[in-house]
Amino acid sequence: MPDFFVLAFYAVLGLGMAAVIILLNWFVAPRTLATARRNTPYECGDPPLGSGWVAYHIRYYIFALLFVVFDVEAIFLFSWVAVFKTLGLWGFIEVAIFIVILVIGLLYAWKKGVLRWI
Amino acid sequence: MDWWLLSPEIIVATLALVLLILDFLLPAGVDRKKMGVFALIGLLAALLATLDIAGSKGQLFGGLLAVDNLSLFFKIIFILAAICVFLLAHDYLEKVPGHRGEFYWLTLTALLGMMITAASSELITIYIGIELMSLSFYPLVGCLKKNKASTEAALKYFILGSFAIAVWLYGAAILYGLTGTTDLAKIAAGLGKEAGPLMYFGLFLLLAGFGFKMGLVPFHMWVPDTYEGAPTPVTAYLAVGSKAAGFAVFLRLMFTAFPALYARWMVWLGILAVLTMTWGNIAALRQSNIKRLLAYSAIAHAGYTLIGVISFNATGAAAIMFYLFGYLFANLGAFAVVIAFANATGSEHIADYAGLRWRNPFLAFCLALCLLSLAGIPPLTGFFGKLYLFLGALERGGWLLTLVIIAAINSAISLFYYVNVIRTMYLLPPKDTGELKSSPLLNFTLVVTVAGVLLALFYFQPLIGALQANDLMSAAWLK
Repeated sequence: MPDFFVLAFYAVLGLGMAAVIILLNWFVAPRTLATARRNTPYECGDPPLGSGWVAYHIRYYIFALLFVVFDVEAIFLFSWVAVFKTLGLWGFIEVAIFIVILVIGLLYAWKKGVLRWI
Repeated sequence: MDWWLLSPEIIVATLALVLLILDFLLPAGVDRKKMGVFALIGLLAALLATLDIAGSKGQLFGGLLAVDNLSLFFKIIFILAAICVFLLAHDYLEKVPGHRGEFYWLTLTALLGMMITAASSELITIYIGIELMSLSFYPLVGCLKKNKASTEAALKYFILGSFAIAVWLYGAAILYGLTGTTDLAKIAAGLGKEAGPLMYFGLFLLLAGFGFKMGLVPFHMWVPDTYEGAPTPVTAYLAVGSKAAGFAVFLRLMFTAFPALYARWMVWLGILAVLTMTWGNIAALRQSNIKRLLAYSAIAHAGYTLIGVISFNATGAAAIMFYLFGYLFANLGAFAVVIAFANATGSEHIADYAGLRWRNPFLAFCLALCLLSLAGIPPLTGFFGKLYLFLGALERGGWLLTLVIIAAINSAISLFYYVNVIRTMYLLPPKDTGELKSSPLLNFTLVVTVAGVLLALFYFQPLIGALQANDLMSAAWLK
């Protein structure tokens, strides 16, 4: 129960920080007239080219999906490595099964042509 | 830990992986029908393994998965459903060239998800089971890639399903925050006698998430569209497997983790049950598409089944299991006829079923029998299922009597649309008098499901006896 109050405390603190920073920015920022030039989006100083609304290729999502799978795998591997000695051989076999299952998934994606960029 | 208790899951998981590897190693031209036969043999092995450990009790992985009569019974239901889906899909998959292998292993991973869901006795494992099942179902629903309805159904199911599971997770997080554990039995212990508003809020969010899986009324919006758009074998699988998995874990959650709050959640569930049955039945009255009709009838059935949870006693729990067992066969039988009819004519409209009695008497008879069982006509399984649900509620007494009366009125309403289909098949003259052929495999599936529906005629007494004598109720999950 007290842990929960700590959690609530940090949640309120985090929200408060964000609110303070945004408010501070609003106070400190200089006021200028809204001209057409001021309202253009900032792109490293270059004048913007085309619209900001671009449809991203669907391929990015599949890549991102594959990336997330192996990203999460890394998290599991870290926690396994931390207790490697106590788990011993049996733990190694279990993690090997886990990785084999993921690799089968990767092979499947490969075979399906997900890794090929046209 | 006794690994033997995990054998059904291990068999299904290995089978799914082997089929996946076979599917991408075999050249594209090779016929994948043999993979289906292989999968069927594997499923039979999993069924035997489950039957072999029937009656045993145990915990796996330090209490993450429970092996008890509840989970084993539901595992048998799921495996039977998967076997029937494999039989139904064999001819149907001609429509989706090139995706036979994927269909097979996705069906198996969905099965694995259901088995884990039914057995899990801990919040995070429940989540993993539900997600494994749902993520396998999304592509299955949309596997008719060129078909707009199928794609739309998959997208709707995916978006609403992700939203529901997010809501569920939020509820689970609140429960964890309040009790400091994700283990259902320990949650019950940590809960004590009284609970604050936050606890009720968390329980409510969990209810909303499960309500989506079971298709209860305020959360049922996806059911008709998804059931209609999905390939029919997948619809049958969704209607039977996904729903039964939802009920299995819901039963365990409510009975194990929240017995202390019974007075409160019985009222919520009572309102949900009345809404679900009434809306499901009234909406079904107006349907002209047979899959949509069965979708709304599935919603209504979720309402009846909920009565078993509300009764919160041994009879209620046993009744849910028996009811879903009967529902499995009646529903799969009905969908088998829908598939056979659609294979021959390409139509899913009830009006086209006119005169089916002359065109194919066997199909007409099987559909009539399954629909009558769904309606709950006496000698069939559906009737005994309902009877036991009502008995459980009456044992609890109090305002549950009102609930039983409402459910009985609803059964009478439902009879109208079920019998309407039978009337169309038996009394109206056919537009097209040609004979309607159904494949031997579908006929065999129909024989199996009809045998299940008729089971109650000869065998319901021992079955119910076995359910109760198995000291199901003195099990740890029900005090």
